[in-house]
Amino acid sequence: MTKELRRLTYVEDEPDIRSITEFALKEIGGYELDVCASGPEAIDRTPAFEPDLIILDVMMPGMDGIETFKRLRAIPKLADTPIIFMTAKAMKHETDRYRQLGAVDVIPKPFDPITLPDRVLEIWRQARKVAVAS
Amino acid sequence: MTMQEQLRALVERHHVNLVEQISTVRQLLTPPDSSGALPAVRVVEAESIMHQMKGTAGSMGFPDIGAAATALDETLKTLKKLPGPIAPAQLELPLNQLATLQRITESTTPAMSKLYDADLSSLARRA
Repeated sequence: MTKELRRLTYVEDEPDIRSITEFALKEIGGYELDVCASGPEAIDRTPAFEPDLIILDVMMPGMDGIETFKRLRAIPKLADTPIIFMTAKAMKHETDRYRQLGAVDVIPKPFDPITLPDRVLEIWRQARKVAVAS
Repeated sequence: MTMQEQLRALVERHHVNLVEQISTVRQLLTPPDSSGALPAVRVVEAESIMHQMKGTAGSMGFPDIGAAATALDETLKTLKKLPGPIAPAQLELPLNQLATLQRITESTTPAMSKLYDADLSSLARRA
């Protein structure tokens, strides 16, 4: 049976970008979404939500996206959950670093919210393909 | 509320926030005393706001505001690396860039966002 993308955790501290991304993923994409405003909130809630995919901002006050990534990865239930970074810090050396950490892809800000759900789905399918093949 | 109405409400709220954020950055970049020097911590705070604005404004359909915010963000990033307070002469460029950003934002209305009249009719929810 083909697993489909349904549940997403989205972590972002900035209210405006959070609201437009939430709109895009929920209203346009139709995904079930758990929106977290900080890294600690994501670490607290994500294991119970069991998302198919996690989208993480990088620049967040307190615990940043990199630290949040590492802590989520350390939770056995989430060790294999694909994680995408969504960030305005998307120079090549930065995106290389995110991929080296284990992120499946990077979505640079700004992005087009209308096409965002399709982009996320494409990344998810690609990540699934790689996971099944390995 | 239709999807289009929801999207327009988000864009309108963001436009209000943009004006407020620019005002905050102006206050941050105004030296607090007659020496004209700016404490470094103010630059750090201003840069954080600009960093957010460059990602958000473009995503909200305001690419010109995003580009102006990016230019100011780059300048503030460079200033952030300097040791100690920022001298008045070093504030000239960021203040000019802020004036440009303010001018573009004030001459922009929510209806000018690329999202405002986006055709959402063909986008069916998948769930």
